[in-house]
Amino acid sequence: MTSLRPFHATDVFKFNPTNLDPLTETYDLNFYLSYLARWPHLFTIALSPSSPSNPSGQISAYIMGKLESSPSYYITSPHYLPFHAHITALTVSPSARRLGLARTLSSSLEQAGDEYDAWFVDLFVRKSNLIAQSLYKGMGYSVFRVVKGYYSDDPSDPEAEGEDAWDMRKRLKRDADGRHVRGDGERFEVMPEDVW
Amino acid sequence: MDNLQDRQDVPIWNAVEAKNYKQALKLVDKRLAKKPTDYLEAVKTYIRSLLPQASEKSAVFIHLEELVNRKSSLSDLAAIDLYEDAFEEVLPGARESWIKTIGELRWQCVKTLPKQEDICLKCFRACLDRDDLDHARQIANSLEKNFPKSHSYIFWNITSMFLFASSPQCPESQKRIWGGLSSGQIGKLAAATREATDLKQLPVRSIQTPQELLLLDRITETFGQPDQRLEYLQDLHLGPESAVAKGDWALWILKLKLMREANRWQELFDLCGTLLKRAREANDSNQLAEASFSDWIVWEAYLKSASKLESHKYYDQIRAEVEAHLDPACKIDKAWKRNASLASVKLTFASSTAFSQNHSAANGEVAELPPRLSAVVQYLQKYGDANTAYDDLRQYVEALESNERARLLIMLDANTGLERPQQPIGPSEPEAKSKSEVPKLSTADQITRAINRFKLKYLVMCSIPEHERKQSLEAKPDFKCITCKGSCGIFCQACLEKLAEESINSYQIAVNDDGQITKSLLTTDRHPADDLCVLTAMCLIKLALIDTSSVSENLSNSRTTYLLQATVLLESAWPRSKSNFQLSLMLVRLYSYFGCGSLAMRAFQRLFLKQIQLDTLSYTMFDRISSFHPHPISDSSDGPSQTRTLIEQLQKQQQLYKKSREHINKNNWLAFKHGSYNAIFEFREVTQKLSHSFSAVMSVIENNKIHRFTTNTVPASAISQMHDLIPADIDSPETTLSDNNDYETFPNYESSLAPTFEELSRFIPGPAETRYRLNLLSEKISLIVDPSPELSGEKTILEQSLKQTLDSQKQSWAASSKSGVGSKSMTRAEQLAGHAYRAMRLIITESCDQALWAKGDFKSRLEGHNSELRERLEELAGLLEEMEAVVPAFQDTLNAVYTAYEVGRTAVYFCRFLNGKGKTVYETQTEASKKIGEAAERLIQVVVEKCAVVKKGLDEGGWIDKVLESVFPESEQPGFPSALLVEAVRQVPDEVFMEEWAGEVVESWKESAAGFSYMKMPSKA
Ligand SMILES: CC(C)(COP(=O)(O)OP(=O)(O)OC[C@H]1O[C@@H](n2cnc3c(N)ncnc32)[C@H](O)[C@@H]1OP(=O)(O)O)[C@@H](O)C(=O)NCCC(=O)NCCS
Repeated sequence: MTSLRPFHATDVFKFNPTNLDPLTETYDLNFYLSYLARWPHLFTIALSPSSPSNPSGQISAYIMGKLESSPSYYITSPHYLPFHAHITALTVSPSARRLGLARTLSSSLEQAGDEYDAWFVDLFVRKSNLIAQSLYKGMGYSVFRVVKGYYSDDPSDPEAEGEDAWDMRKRLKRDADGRHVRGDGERFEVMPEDVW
Repeated sequence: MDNLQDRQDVPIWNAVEAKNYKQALKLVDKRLAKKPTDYLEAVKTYIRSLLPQASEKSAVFIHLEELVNRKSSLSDLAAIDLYEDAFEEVLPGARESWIKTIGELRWQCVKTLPKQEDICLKCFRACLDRDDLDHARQIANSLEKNFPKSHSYIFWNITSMFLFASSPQCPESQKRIWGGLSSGQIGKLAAATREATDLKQLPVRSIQTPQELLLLDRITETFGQPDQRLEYLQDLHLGPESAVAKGDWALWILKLKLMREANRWQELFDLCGTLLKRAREANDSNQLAEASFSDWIVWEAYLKSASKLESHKYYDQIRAEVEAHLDPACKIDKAWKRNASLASVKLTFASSTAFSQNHSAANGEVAELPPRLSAVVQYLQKYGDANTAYDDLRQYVEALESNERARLLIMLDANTGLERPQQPIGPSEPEAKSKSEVPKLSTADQITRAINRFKLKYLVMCSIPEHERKQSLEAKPDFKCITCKGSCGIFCQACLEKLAEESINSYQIAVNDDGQITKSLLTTDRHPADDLCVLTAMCLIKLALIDTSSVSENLSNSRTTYLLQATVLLESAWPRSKSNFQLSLMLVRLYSYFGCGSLAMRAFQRLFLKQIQLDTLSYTMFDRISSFHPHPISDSSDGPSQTRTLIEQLQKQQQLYKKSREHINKNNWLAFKHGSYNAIFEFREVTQKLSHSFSAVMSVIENNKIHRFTTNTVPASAISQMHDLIPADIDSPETTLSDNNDYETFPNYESSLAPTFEELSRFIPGPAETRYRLNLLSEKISLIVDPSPELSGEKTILEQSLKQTLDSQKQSWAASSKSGVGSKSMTRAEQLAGHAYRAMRLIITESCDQALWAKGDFKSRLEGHNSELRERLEELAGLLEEMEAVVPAFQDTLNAVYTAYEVGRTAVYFCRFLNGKGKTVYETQTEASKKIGEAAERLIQVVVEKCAVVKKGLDEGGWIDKVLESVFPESEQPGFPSALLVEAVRQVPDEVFMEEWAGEVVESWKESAAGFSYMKMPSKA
């Protein structure tokens, strides 16, 4: 079954099914609470069926998002981002993968982006994370730029120094003529300090 | 030097920095003499608070109290900040006093400067940080009044009133006042939105955001009229469809819930019908923008309302909706389609209409099945390759009649009719009907199908019957197994063995696919067949539970054999699936059972716990670590961060609690700033849970015990940690601790009506409040009687607290010792030790309380406590002496040995402590203490002897062979695994692995026994 609800602060006690997976980082409490304090409606979880021993159901996936623009002092920068939605984290527990939950959750963020009149949705994904890339490509996202050495580690290769990120985007209703997306974003390389 | 206001103050702060407080005071006095200011006064107080003398500290506090009572209030915020710092030096963490002094100063400052927004905001924030809700409320009220154009402050005021009214700080008599006011005020704002003509230009005093709507609901729930919540949610301008709601799903969830609670079945039915229809209808741009309306809660509410309306026509409508969703032309996402399929199953179960019959005619044998079984089978056909199919179907399979379950089992066994039909519509293939083929296990989908089948078999063959048998256990201790028809107990050995064998064989086939899947796995992946291995391990663990006989040799009983087999299987699955945390969780438990501390730690570290996970999962390793493996763990295998000592790990956990307070405060403020009112209440729940956490208490206790055990000294931070991490209200009878532990992440394929597998596989009682409270008591006693001189100042306070809590807990404990409460949450050794500690507490408090001496029965009372203590120590010695199977020492042995040693040693110190008190102790106590001392020393002697037996036993050779013989017994014996099962298990690990692993187990036992060398008779005082 698929059932979504807003992430409650106390869900941090129950998100191990997603967060024990090595591809999902567990941050300090401040990280989760600050999203709840600012964008409570963009932090959504998916639940698995409940049972008498677990009446509220287990957390099987969640998405953390935000809506913002670059700070105003940045406005003259070529890397300035107008008001947009951003996927900060998207994770599905290993036992609930391939059921369409990631697609459903990211659609919910796109919808909120439209509701709040954002230009586009964007996200960073590891260059090696082919699964996530195929998910996003399938949903109409395209690469906007490559951020060199954005990640300081590489979970699949302990020897590696770091890893590039793809900054992927999908335009929302407001960007009717596609001003904020690129068809050939793989060619645009930027440094981590350029992205905000 | 953040506090610098004037260049002339520089020398003062330089002196403070150099810790030359005398000089600093001199300088400040000089400046004060010239020009007295509030700020300089505050500097002076701050410097005095830094002085070590207790007299200075109390003078500071008195000064703070005087300040509050002064007529003219302070308006210099920097001065107040300094007073706050001074307060922290004098009375760190004392919230109540903070409120009375600093909180009051801040509020007075706001009253004096109500238009200075910045100052008011700082004061508001400071009060929130201290949970000083009454002052926060007053400041918010002032902000609203003085900045009437601000929309936010209106809500800050309402939120603050509501926070105050719902907190224990609010006097009972005022709860309704503040609650009523918050509800009245937000009600007016709701009315303004309701009546607004232009929703784009709402007045300042109105509800304008989803979070404000959620606040409205929250307040109305507590302080409004019963029907009002739903009324708001039904309103066009305030409900989930309103412009204000911005489509927030949380409001829909509330609305559906409240309609159910209000029995508005017809309305609910119609609403759900509409939502589901909208979900599958494309908008103008051909998008299914409202697909999320087909959330499972909508289907559930739809079905629930139909069942209440009791007419077939409603079910017919639902059926039509299901069909519309499942129509291939409907392009709704698969996650939502699955809901419609599951709704179809639920519908079949809910209605007596044989809905699925019309449908399933095409699916060969499914058509001949009874409707409910057919619904289950169809779902399995469709979604059997999804991991969640088992969880989705579990409750429906449980609801099948037993004859239906028997039919399902036949299908599962033969694997017929369960595959996805090739052609959903059209005549059935005659071939498919009779075909019962060995399933292929070469793709992830095929493997997942097999896993779902095995899990369902486990449910039908084992878990459900076990639960049913358990229910009728008293009437009938022996059963005829409904599946294999053999006679059995609660667990059926034959069925469990059969399933274990089949599923491990399938696992073996799946992983030996010429490496097709295995080779393609990334290091962060898990093998799709893992659950087969987990399921086998579960069967083996249950088989182990059948054997409750006690034998004299640990390695020669069948329980050990089964459990070692489970361990081998999980351990050999791990290299392929390093990220599979369920393998690791089970391994921690199994290695703990075997007393292999270093291996349990190795499995635990594979979880890579961080941050909040240290609260929710530390228990798996650290609960009782002091009576399991209190010495440093020397094994270090996989991974880099293995070297951390146990104490460091516990301290890392304790850091989490300290840091999280800061984090919560910071975000509480952020939530106010961003108008996320609902989040504020959620943050309070997190605070409550973390400040009363089981695991926090555990970390303090285990840390102190380990420290004491390994160093024979009092942990330096013992007292401050107790203050910091143990809730201040712990002894109040209303306080309960919060069990934040995560038991759900363990794999669990049990029937939803039965205990979870995590519970079933507890070889030793799990975390429990009774035990933690008892541990806290024993901790206090250990500190009081500790001979170390460092603690002398703290002891009196601890003694007082023992006395104070005695009264509040007397009754509940009197009841608990009679009814034997604790027997479920503690091992036998812990229970006996618990009784001994309670007796020690009574003796300490009563034998020194001269007011009691004159009472007629005092002498016999005291005698009673003394003989209770002595007898419990003797009982413990007896318990140890009787333990036979101690080599190698499994968890139960280790627990008994370490628990006994600890209480024995405390009792020795306890006697010395009382002897040292001279005439302030009742006169007969000296004699009684002597006897107790003797019993305690004898107990320690028994402990030391028992440990010597274990060590000597382990020093003898041949253990690796014994382990290998135990895992794979040569000959078949009753109660032991069948030769077939042994053979099936043997196929999984290779020989090299087995040799190495057995060696590790033996090493781990030896490493564990190294802890015994710390246990010695306390040297004579
Ligand atoms: C990436 C991730 C979120 C996908 O979650 P999911 O719920 O399994 O994905 P969905 O079922 O919604 O899949 C949507 C599409 O993504 C693609 N996809 C997902 N998993 C895939 C896989 N294992 N292989 C190939 N394609 C895959 C497919 O195109 C799929 O559509 P389809 O199933 O109709 O073919 C999940 O694998 C995950 O949690 N990974 C770890 C954390 C992570 O990497 N997050 C992304 C950070 S940006």
